[in-house]
Amino acid sequence: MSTPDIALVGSADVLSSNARRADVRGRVDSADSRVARDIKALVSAGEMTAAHERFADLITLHQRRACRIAMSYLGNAADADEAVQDAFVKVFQHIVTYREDLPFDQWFTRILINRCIDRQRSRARHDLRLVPLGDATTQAVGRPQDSPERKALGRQWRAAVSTEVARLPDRQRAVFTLCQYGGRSPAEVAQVLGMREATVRVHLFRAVHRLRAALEVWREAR
Amino acid sequence: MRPAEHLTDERILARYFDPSSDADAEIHLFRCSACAARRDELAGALDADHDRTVAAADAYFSAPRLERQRTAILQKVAHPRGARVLVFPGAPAATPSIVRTMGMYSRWTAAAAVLLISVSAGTGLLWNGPLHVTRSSDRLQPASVFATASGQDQEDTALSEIDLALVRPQTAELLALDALTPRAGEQPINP
Repeated sequence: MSTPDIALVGSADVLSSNARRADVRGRVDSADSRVARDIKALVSAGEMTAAHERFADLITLHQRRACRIAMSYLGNAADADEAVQDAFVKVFQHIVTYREDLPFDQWFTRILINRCIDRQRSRARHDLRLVPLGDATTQAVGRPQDSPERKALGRQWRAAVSTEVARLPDRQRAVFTLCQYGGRSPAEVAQVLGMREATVRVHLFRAVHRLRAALEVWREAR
Repeated sequence: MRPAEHLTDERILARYFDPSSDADAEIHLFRCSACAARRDELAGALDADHDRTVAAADAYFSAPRLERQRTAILQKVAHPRGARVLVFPGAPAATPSIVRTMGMYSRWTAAAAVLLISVSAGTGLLWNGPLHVTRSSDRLQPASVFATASGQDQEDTALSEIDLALVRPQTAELLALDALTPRAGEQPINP
Protein backbone atom coordinates (compact mmCIF):
# COMPACT_ATOMS: atom_id res chain seq x y z
CA MET A 1 0.00 0.00 0.00
CA SER A 2 1.41 3.38 -0.89
CA THR A 3 1.63 5.99 1.79
CA PRO A 4 -0.47 9.14 1.55
CA ASP A 5 1.50 11.76 -0.34
CA ILE A 6 -1.03 14.47 0.15
CA ALA A 7 -1.63 17.20 2.63
CA LEU A 8 -4.86 16.38 4.37
CA VAL A 9 -5.16 19.70 6.16
CA GLY A 10 -7.23 22.27 4.27
CA SER A 11 -8.35 19.53 1.97
CA ALA A 12 -11.11 21.51 0.27
CA ASP A 13 -8.61 24.09 -0.93
CA VAL A 14 -6.21 21.38 -2.02
CA LEU A 15 -8.94 19.83 -4.11
CA SER A 16 -10.16 23.03 -5.65
CA SER A 17 -6.69 23.88 -6.91
CA ASN A 18 -5.87 20.32 -7.86
CA ALA A 19 -4.72 20.02 -11.43
CA ARG A 20 -6.87 17.64 -13.46
CA ARG A 21 -3.96 16.15 -15.34
CA ALA A 22 -3.96 12.67 -16.78
CA ASP A 23 -1.10 10.25 -16.25
CA VAL A 24 0.50 8.12 -18.96
CA ARG A 25 -2.29 5.55 -18.66
CA GLY A 26 -5.03 8.12 -19.15
CA ARG A 27 -5.98 8.13 -15.48
CA VAL A 28 -6.76 11.33 -13.61
CA ASP A 29 -3.70 12.41 -11.68
CA SER A 30 -5.26 14.26 -8.75
CA ALA A 31 -4.61 13.46 -5.11
CA ASP A 32 -8.07 12.11 -4.33
CA SER A 33 -8.24 10.13 -7.56
CA ARG A 34 -4.96 8.42 -6.67
CA VAL A 35 -6.31 7.50 -3.24
CA ALA A 36 -9.52 6.21 -4.81
CA ARG A 37 -7.51 4.02 -7.19
CA ASP A 38 -5.56 2.64 -4.23
CA ILE A 39 -8.78 1.77 -2.42
CA LYS A 40 -10.24 0.16 -5.51
CA ALA A 41 -7.13 -1.99 -5.90
CA LEU A 42 -7.15 -2.95 -2.22
CA VAL A 43 -10.84 -3.88 -2.25
CA SER A 44 -10.36 -5.90 -5.42
CA ALA A 45 -7.49 -7.73 -3.74
CA GLY A 46 -9.60 -8.40 -0.65
CA GLU A 47 -7.36 -6.34 1.62
CA MET A 48 -10.24 -4.73 3.45
CA THR A 49 -8.36 -3.50 6.51
CA ALA A 50 -5.89 -1.59 4.37
CA ALA A 51 -8.75 -0.32 2.22
CA HIS A 52 -10.53 1.06 5.28
CA GLU A 53 -7.38 2.84 6.39
CA ARG A 54 -6.95 4.41 2.98
CA PHE A 55 -10.62 5.29 2.86
CA ALA A 56 -10.15 7.36 6.02
CA ASP A 57 -7.70 9.51 4.02
CA LEU A 58 -10.24 9.94 1.26
CA ILE A 59 -12.91 10.98 3.74
CA THR A 60 -10.59 13.58 5.20
CA LEU A 61 -9.93 15.04 1.78
CA HIS A 62 -13.58 15.56 0.88
CA GLN A 63 -15.38 15.78 4.20
CA ARG A 64 -15.45 19.51 4.84
CA ARG A 65 -16.42 20.50 1.33
CA ALA A 66 -19.08 17.79 1.29
CA CYS A 67 -20.55 19.11 4.51
CA ARG A 68 -20.66 22.65 3.13
CA ILE A 69 -22.42 21.51 -0.02
CA ALA A 70 -24.89 19.27 1.80
CA MET A 71 -25.71 21.86 4.44
CA SER A 72 -26.25 24.63 1.92
CA TYR A 73 -28.32 22.31 -0.26
CA LEU A 74 -30.49 20.91 2.53
CA GLY A 75 -30.47 23.89 4.90
CA ASN A 76 -30.47 21.43 7.76
CA ALA A 77 -27.41 20.28 9.67
CA ALA A 78 -28.73 16.89 10.76
CA ASP A 79 -29.85 15.97 7.25
CA ALA A 80 -26.57 17.22 5.84
CA ASP A 81 -24.65 14.99 8.23
CA GLU A 82 -26.70 11.96 7.19
CA ALA A 83 -26.40 12.77 3.50
CA VAL A 84 -22.62 13.06 3.73
CA GLN A 85 -22.35 9.78 5.63
CA ASP A 86 -24.62 8.04 3.12
CA ALA A 87 -22.57 9.39 0.22
CA PHE A 88 -19.28 8.13 1.64
CA VAL A 89 -20.74 4.73 2.43
CA LYS A 90 -22.07 4.50 -1.13
CA VAL A 91 -18.66 5.40 -2.47
CA PHE A 92 -16.99 2.58 -0.58
CA GLN A 93 -19.68 0.08 -1.49
CA HIS A 94 -19.29 0.88 -5.18
CA ILE A 95 -15.59 1.73 -5.31
CA VAL A 96 -14.87 -1.16 -7.66
CA THR A 97 -17.03 0.57 -10.28
CA TYR A 98 -15.04 3.81 -10.04
CA ARG A 99 -13.83 4.83 -13.51
CA GLU A 100 -10.18 5.78 -13.25
CA ASP A 101 -10.29 8.04 -16.30
CA LEU A 102 -12.65 10.43 -14.50
CA PRO A 103 -11.86 12.68 -11.53
CA PHE A 104 -12.92 11.11 -8.27
CA ASP A 105 -14.42 14.34 -6.96
CA GLN A 106 -16.72 14.47 -9.98
CA TRP A 107 -18.03 11.00 -9.18
CA PHE A 108 -18.28 11.70 -5.48
CA THR A 109 -20.06 15.02 -5.93
CA ARG A 110 -22.65 13.40 -8.15
CA ILE A 111 -23.28 10.75 -5.50
CA LEU A 112 -23.49 13.43 -2.81
CA ILE A 113 -25.99 15.53 -4.74
CA ASN A 114 -28.12 12.44 -5.38
CA ARG A 115 -28.10 11.64 -1.68
CA CYS A 116 -29.09 15.24 -0.90
CA ILE A 117 -31.97 15.06 -3.38
CA ASP A 118 -33.13 11.74 -1.90
CA ARG A 119 -32.98 13.10 1.61
CA GLN A 120 -34.77 16.28 0.61
CA ARG A 121 -37.61 14.29 -0.92
CA SER A 122 -37.75 12.00 2.07
CA ARG A 123 -37.92 14.98 4.39
CA ALA A 124 -40.62 16.56 2.30
CA ARG A 125 -42.64 13.38 2.65
CA HIS A 126 -42.24 13.19 6.38
CA ASP A 127 -42.03 16.94 6.98
CA LEU A 128 -39.22 16.49 9.44
CA ARG A 129 -37.17 19.56 10.08
CA LEU A 130 -35.03 18.58 13.02
CA VAL A 131 -32.40 21.28 13.17
CA PRO A 132 -33.05 24.17 10.82
CA LEU A 133 -29.92 25.91 9.60
CA GLY A 134 -30.84 29.11 11.38
CA ASP A 135 -31.16 27.35 14.72
CA ALA A 136 -28.14 25.10 14.33
CA THR A 137 -25.82 27.97 13.59
CA THR A 138 -27.31 30.80 15.54
CA GLN A 139 -24.06 31.47 17.30
CA ALA A 140 -21.98 31.05 14.23
CA VAL A 141 -23.53 33.51 11.82
CA GLY A 142 -21.66 36.77 12.05
CA ARG A 143 -18.15 37.77 12.90
CA PRO A 144 -17.03 38.37 16.47
CA GLN A 145 -16.51 42.07 15.84
CA ASP A 146 -20.04 42.55 14.49
CA SER A 147 -22.57 44.43 16.59
CA PRO A 148 -25.56 42.48 17.95
CA GLU A 149 -27.82 44.27 15.49
CA ARG A 150 -25.62 43.33 12.59
CA LYS A 151 -25.44 39.72 13.76
CA ALA A 152 -29.22 39.60 14.06
CA LEU A 153 -29.55 41.03 10.59
CA GLY A 154 -27.06 38.47 9.32
CA ARG A 155 -29.12 35.65 10.81
CA GLN A 156 -32.31 36.97 9.26
CA TRP A 157 -30.60 37.33 5.94
CA ARG A 158 -29.11 33.82 6.08
CA ALA A 159 -32.52 32.41 6.95
CA ALA A 160 -34.07 34.30 4.03
CA VAL A 161 -31.47 33.02 1.57
CA SER A 162 -31.72 29.50 2.96
CA THR A 163 -35.50 29.56 2.57
CA GLU A 164 -35.24 30.81 -0.99
CA VAL A 165 -32.61 28.18 -1.85
CA ALA A 166 -34.93 25.50 -0.45
CA ARG A 167 -37.67 26.69 -2.81
CA LEU A 168 -35.53 26.32 -5.92
CA PRO A 169 -36.24 23.37 -8.21
CA ASP A 170 -33.82 20.44 -7.78
CA ARG A 171 -31.59 21.22 -10.74
CA GLN A 172 -31.39 24.93 -10.08
CA ARG A 173 -30.57 24.26 -6.48
CA ALA A 174 -27.89 21.71 -7.33
CA VAL A 175 -26.28 24.04 -9.86
CA PHE A 176 -26.40 27.05 -7.57
CA THR A 177 -25.11 25.10 -4.56
CA LEU A 178 -22.15 23.63 -6.42
CA CYS A 179 -21.18 26.94 -8.04
CA GLN A 180 -21.79 29.21 -5.08
CA TYR A 181 -20.73 27.05 -2.13
CA GLY A 182 -18.84 24.18 -3.75
CA GLY A 183 -16.42 26.43 -5.63
CA ARG A 184 -17.16 24.84 -9.01
CA SER A 185 -17.20 26.54 -12.36
CA PRO A 186 -20.23 26.01 -14.62
CA ALA A 187 -18.10 23.75 -16.83
CA GLU A 188 -17.21 21.51 -13.88
CA VAL A 189 -20.81 21.43 -12.70
CA ALA A 190 -21.86 20.40 -16.19
CA GLN A 191 -19.57 17.37 -15.93
CA VAL A 192 -20.73 16.49 -12.44
CA LEU A 193 -24.44 16.69 -13.22
CA GLY A 194 -24.23 15.41 -16.77
CA MET A 195 -25.65 18.57 -18.35
CA ARG A 196 -24.53 20.85 -21.12
CA GLU A 197 -22.61 23.86 -19.91
CA ALA A 198 -25.14 26.21 -21.51
CA THR A 199 -27.90 24.48 -19.54
CA VAL A 200 -25.95 24.93 -16.33
CA ARG A 201 -25.58 28.63 -17.04
CA VAL A 202 -29.32 28.96 -17.63
CA HIS A 203 -30.11 27.18 -14.36
CA LEU A 204 -27.55 29.31 -12.54
CA PHE A 205 -28.94 32.55 -13.90
CA ARG A 206 -32.50 31.59 -13.04
CA ALA A 207 -31.48 30.58 -9.53
CA VAL A 208 -29.62 33.82 -8.87
CA HIS A 209 -32.50 35.79 -10.36
CA ARG A 210 -34.91 34.13 -7.94
CA LEU A 211 -32.55 34.65 -5.01
CA ARG A 212 -31.83 38.22 -5.89
CA ALA A 213 -34.57 39.67 -3.73
CA ALA A 214 -33.19 37.87 -0.67
CA LEU A 215 -29.65 38.87 -1.54
CA GLU A 216 -30.67 42.50 -2.03
CA VAL A 217 -31.87 42.75 1.57
CA TRP A 218 -28.35 42.35 2.83
CA ARG A 219 -26.87 44.74 0.30
CA GLU A 220 -29.34 47.47 1.21
CA ALA A 221 -28.76 46.95 4.91
CA ARG A 222 -25.01 47.41 4.70
CA MET B 1 -15.04 55.77 -22.61
CA ARG B 2 -18.42 54.05 -22.58
CA PRO B 3 -19.34 51.23 -24.94
CA ALA B 4 -22.64 51.51 -26.75
CA GLU B 5 -24.02 48.18 -25.52
CA HIS B 6 -23.91 47.04 -21.90
CA LEU B 7 -23.33 43.51 -20.75
CA THR B 8 -26.33 41.37 -19.96
CA ASP B 9 -26.85 40.05 -16.44
CA GLU B 10 -26.16 36.54 -17.73
CA ARG B 11 -22.69 37.49 -18.95
CA ILE B 12 -21.85 39.31 -15.75
CA LEU B 13 -22.96 36.31 -13.73
CA ALA B 14 -21.08 33.86 -15.93
CA ARG B 15 -17.97 35.97 -15.57
CA TYR B 16 -18.38 35.98 -11.78
CA PHE B 17 -18.58 32.21 -11.52
CA ASP B 18 -15.89 31.55 -14.11
CA PRO B 19 -13.34 34.39 -14.25
CA SER B 20 -11.37 32.62 -16.97
CA SER B 21 -14.28 32.78 -19.41
CA ASP B 22 -15.44 35.53 -21.75
CA ALA B 23 -12.39 37.76 -22.15
CA ASP B 24 -14.48 40.25 -24.11
CA ALA B 25 -16.68 40.78 -21.09
CA GLU B 26 -13.62 41.50 -18.97
CA ILE B 27 -12.45 44.13 -21.43
CA HIS B 28 -15.91 45.68 -21.40
CA LEU B 29 -16.01 45.72 -17.60
CA PHE B 30 -12.66 47.48 -17.56
CA ARG B 31 -14.00 50.26 -19.80
CA CYS B 32 -17.63 50.58 -18.67
CA SER B 33 -18.16 51.94 -15.18
CA ALA B 34 -21.90 51.22 -15.23
CA CYS B 35 -21.37 47.52 -15.93
CA ALA B 36 -18.50 47.40 -13.45
CA ALA B 37 -20.84 48.81 -10.81
CA ARG B 38 -23.45 46.16 -11.62
CA ARG B 39 -20.76 43.48 -11.41
CA ASP B 40 -19.56 44.82 -8.04
CA GLU B 41 -23.09 44.89 -6.70
CA LEU B 42 -23.74 41.28 -7.70
CA ALA B 43 -20.33 40.10 -6.55
CA GLY B 44 -20.74 41.83 -3.18
CA ALA B 45 -24.04 40.10 -2.48
CA LEU B 46 -22.85 36.68 -3.65
CA ASP B 47 -19.54 36.97 -1.82
CA ALA B 48 -21.30 37.90 1.41
CA ASP B 49 -23.71 34.99 0.98
CA HIS B 50 -20.86 32.57 0.28
CA ASP B 51 -18.78 33.73 3.24
CA ARG B 52 -21.60 33.56 5.75
CA THR B 53 -22.98 30.25 4.53
CA VAL B 54 -19.57 28.59 4.53
CA ALA B 55 -18.81 30.06 7.96
CA ALA B 56 -22.10 28.70 9.29
CA ALA B 57 -21.41 25.22 7.90
CA ASP B 58 -17.83 25.20 9.19
CA ALA B 59 -18.96 26.37 12.61
CA TYR B 60 -21.48 23.54 12.89
CA PHE B 61 -19.17 20.89 11.44
CA SER B 62 -16.36 21.55 13.86
CA ALA B 63 -13.24 19.40 13.97
CA PRO B 64 -14.59 17.07 16.72
CA ARG B 65 -17.88 16.68 14.84
CA LEU B 66 -16.04 15.86 11.64
CA GLU B 67 -14.00 13.31 13.53
CA ARG B 68 -17.16 11.68 14.88
CA GLN B 69 -18.66 11.71 11.42
CA ARG B 70 -15.55 10.05 9.99
CA THR B 71 -15.63 7.40 12.71
CA ALA B 72 -19.32 6.73 12.04
CA ILE B 73 -18.69 6.36 8.31
CA LEU B 74 -15.81 3.95 8.84
CA GLN B 75 -17.89 1.89 11.26
CA LYS B 76 -20.76 1.72 8.78
CA VAL B 77 -18.33 0.65 6.09
CA ALA B 78 -16.80 -2.00 8.34
CA HIS B 79 -20.22 -3.34 9.39
CA PRO B 80 -22.45 -3.02 6.35
CA ARG B 81 -26.14 -3.32 6.99
CA GLY B 82 -27.48 -6.50 5.51
CA ALA B 83 -30.73 -6.61 3.64
CA ARG B 84 -33.67 -7.36 5.92
CA VAL B 85 -36.36 -9.77 4.84
CA LEU B 86 -39.73 -8.74 6.18
CA VAL B 87 -41.99 -11.57 7.20
CA PHE B 88 -45.24 -11.68 5.27
CA PRO B 89 -47.98 -12.74 7.68
CA GLY B 90 -49.63 -15.15 5.30
CA ALA B 91 -46.53 -17.21 4.50
CA PRO B 92 -45.12 -18.62 7.72
CA ALA B 93 -43.56 -21.65 6.04
CA ALA B 94 -41.26 -19.55 3.90
CA THR B 95 -40.01 -17.44 6.77
CA PRO B 96 -36.27 -17.85 7.31
CA SER B 97 -36.63 -16.99 10.96
CA ILE B 98 -34.10 -18.37 13.37
CA VAL B 99 -36.88 -18.70 15.92
CA ARG B 100 -38.72 -21.26 13.79
CA THR B 101 -35.66 -23.41 13.40
CA MET B 102 -35.08 -23.32 17.09
CA GLY B 103 -38.54 -24.70 17.82
CA MET B 104 -40.42 -24.97 21.06
CA TYR B 105 -37.51 -26.54 22.91
CA SER B 106 -35.50 -23.37 22.53
CA ARG B 107 -38.41 -21.26 23.70
CA TRP B 108 -38.46 -23.08 27.01
CA THR B 109 -34.70 -22.63 27.25
CA ALA B 110 -35.09 -18.93 26.58
CA ALA B 111 -37.83 -18.62 29.18
CA ALA B 112 -35.61 -20.37 31.72
CA ALA B 113 -32.75 -18.02 30.89
CA VAL B 114 -34.92 -14.94 31.43
CA LEU B 115 -36.16 -16.38 34.73
CA LEU B 116 -32.58 -17.03 35.83
CA ILE B 117 -31.54 -13.49 34.96
CA SER B 118 -34.50 -12.06 36.88
CA VAL B 119 -33.75 -14.11 39.97
CA SER B 120 -30.08 -13.15 39.80
CA ALA B 121 -30.92 -9.48 39.53
CA GLY B 122 -33.30 -9.70 42.49
CA THR B 123 -30.73 -11.52 44.57
CA GLY B 124 -28.14 -8.90 43.73
CA LEU B 125 -30.42 -6.11 44.88
CA LEU B 126 -31.09 -7.84 48.19
CA TRP B 127 -27.42 -8.60 48.73
CA ASN B 128 -26.42 -4.99 48.14
CA GLY B 129 -28.81 -3.70 50.76
CA PRO B 130 -31.75 -1.34 50.45
CA LEU B 131 -32.28 0.78 47.44
CA HIS B 132 -30.54 4.13 47.39
CA VAL B 133 -32.83 6.85 48.63
CA THR B 134 -32.69 9.88 46.45
CA ARG B 135 -32.17 13.14 48.26
CA SER B 136 -33.79 16.27 47.01
CA SER B 137 -30.40 17.62 45.95
CA ASP B 138 -29.75 14.49 43.90
CA ARG B 139 -32.85 14.85 41.84
CA LEU B 140 -32.41 15.52 38.22
CA GLN B 141 -32.53 19.14 37.33
CA PRO B 142 -35.00 20.17 34.65
CA ALA B 143 -33.48 19.89 31.22
CA SER B 144 -32.13 23.13 29.93
CA VAL B 145 -34.07 24.67 27.11
CA PHE B 146 -30.84 25.33 25.31
CA ALA B 147 -28.76 22.25 24.67
CA THR B 148 -25.12 22.75 25.49
CA ALA B 149 -22.36 21.80 23.10
CA SER B 150 -21.31 18.88 25.30
CA GLY B 151 -24.92 17.76 25.56
CA GLN B 152 -25.22 17.77 21.81
CA ASP B 153 -21.99 15.82 21.53
CA GLN B 154 -23.28 13.20 23.96
CA GLU B 155 -26.52 13.03 22.07
CA ASP B 156 -24.67 12.59 18.80
CA THR B 157 -22.54 9.85 20.32
CA ALA B 158 -25.58 8.07 21.74
CA LEU B 159 -27.39 8.26 18.41
CA SER B 160 -24.32 6.93 16.63
CA GLU B 161 -24.14 4.00 19.04
CA ILE B 162 -27.82 3.22 18.55
CA ASP B 163 -27.37 3.42 14.81
CA LEU B 164 -24.44 1.05 14.94
CA ALA B 165 -26.34 -1.35 17.17
CA LEU B 166 -29.11 -1.44 14.59
CA VAL B 167 -26.60 -2.06 11.84
CA ARG B 168 -25.00 -5.04 13.56
CA PRO B 169 -26.40 -8.50 13.04
CA GLN B 170 -28.71 -9.78 15.73
CA THR B 171 -26.82 -10.16 18.94
CA ALA B 172 -26.95 -13.45 20.82
CA GLU B 173 -28.01 -11.75 24.06
CA LEU B 174 -31.25 -10.55 22.53
CA LEU B 175 -32.19 -13.84 20.94
CA ALA B 176 -33.65 -15.16 24.18
CA LEU B 177 -36.02 -12.22 24.49
CA ASP B 178 -36.76 -12.30 20.79
CA ALA B 179 -37.76 -15.94 21.07
CA LEU B 180 -40.51 -15.03 23.51
CA THR B 181 -42.06 -12.51 21.15
CA PRO B 182 -45.13 -13.97 19.43
CA ARG B 183 -45.14 -13.70 15.66
CA ALA B 184 -48.26 -12.68 13.81
CA GLY B 185 -47.88 -15.48 11.31
CA GLU B 186 -47.75 -18.12 14.05
CA GLN B 187 -50.97 -17.10 15.75
CA PRO B 188 -54.12 -18.99 14.84
CA ILE B 189 -56.60 -16.89 12.96
CA ASN B 190 -59.93 -16.83 14.76
CA PRO B 191 -62.77 -15.65 12.58
